[in-house]
Amino acid sequence: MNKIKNSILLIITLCISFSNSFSQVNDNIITDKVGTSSFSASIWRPLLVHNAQVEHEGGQEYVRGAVYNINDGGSQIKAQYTVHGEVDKFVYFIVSGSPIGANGIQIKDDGQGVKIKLEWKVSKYTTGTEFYSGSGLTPYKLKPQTAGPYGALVIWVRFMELDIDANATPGTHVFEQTITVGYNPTI
Amino acid sequence: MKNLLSILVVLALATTFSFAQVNDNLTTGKTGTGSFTATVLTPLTINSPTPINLGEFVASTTPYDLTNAITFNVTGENNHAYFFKTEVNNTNPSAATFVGSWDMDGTGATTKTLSATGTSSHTYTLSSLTAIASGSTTLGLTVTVSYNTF
Repeated sequence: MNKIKNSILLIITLCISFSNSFSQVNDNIITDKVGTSSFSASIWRPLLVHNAQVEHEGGQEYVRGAVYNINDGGSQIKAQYTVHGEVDKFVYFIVSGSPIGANGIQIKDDGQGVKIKLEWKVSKYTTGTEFYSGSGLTPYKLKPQTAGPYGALVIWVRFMELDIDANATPGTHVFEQTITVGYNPTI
Repeated sequence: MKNLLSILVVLALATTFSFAQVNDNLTTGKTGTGSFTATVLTPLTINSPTPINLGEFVASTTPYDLTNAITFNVTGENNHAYFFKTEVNNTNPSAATFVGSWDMDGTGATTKTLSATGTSSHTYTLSSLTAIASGSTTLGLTVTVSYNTF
């Protein structure tokens, strides 16, 4: 009998509690009841490097045991890399192979008796102004193009000088220049 | 004269009865009480957490994994239930899409109970972002709370 009584009391208590919890509450305070916040993100266009195009193929023959200036007469042999990405954002680039010294000068040695002296330059896409600050890890800004939504940057490499040892291996010597770009300095 | 005397006697008796001592042993049921009762609750409050700038993402079909979370803190009456509504709004879904979830979704008819110290919280956890195209976007979060359903 006591158990039945207790059960009834418990049910009544629960009903009252439930009723109180969800009863209509008079509330005139209308402030501080809405909380707002947000996550925000900016999306950038992916970087894309267009393959370098050599404007003037070497294609010439050189005799061993001499140094050749291949950057004279206004007929520079050069290649250009066009980088596309988000307008006005900075990019970094690194050049494969031996390090680049002052004024963007790089000397590559193929280990077969031929050295090539290169000069790296960066130019703003719109103005063609050339500059180089000594390191690919200096950020360069992607400038708006005259048309199109992308920002662009042009990286040039000029072939300045060929140094051919007297014992250089006969035949074709190929020097590849590879650049890697990134929005972060940790390319 | 007789009549006047009779009237005086009747009046005297009536007066005596009016002020006679009444013997009454009943001590209950003689007091009536009534009241108005009001329960006062601590007002509900909820904060607006500092927005999180996730930074820059390069457009890619591969989603970026994230573990960012924003927590809204609610205060009110100890142990009291309240209603809440959670909302999410992506301002520019063509730039990026977000994947995330609330620890508990609310529709305005959904209830939660404040703790014994009158606190509660609502957390939205971001798990990934897919950067679609150049632009900026914001994932707005809103939590509305009330003691009454809405």
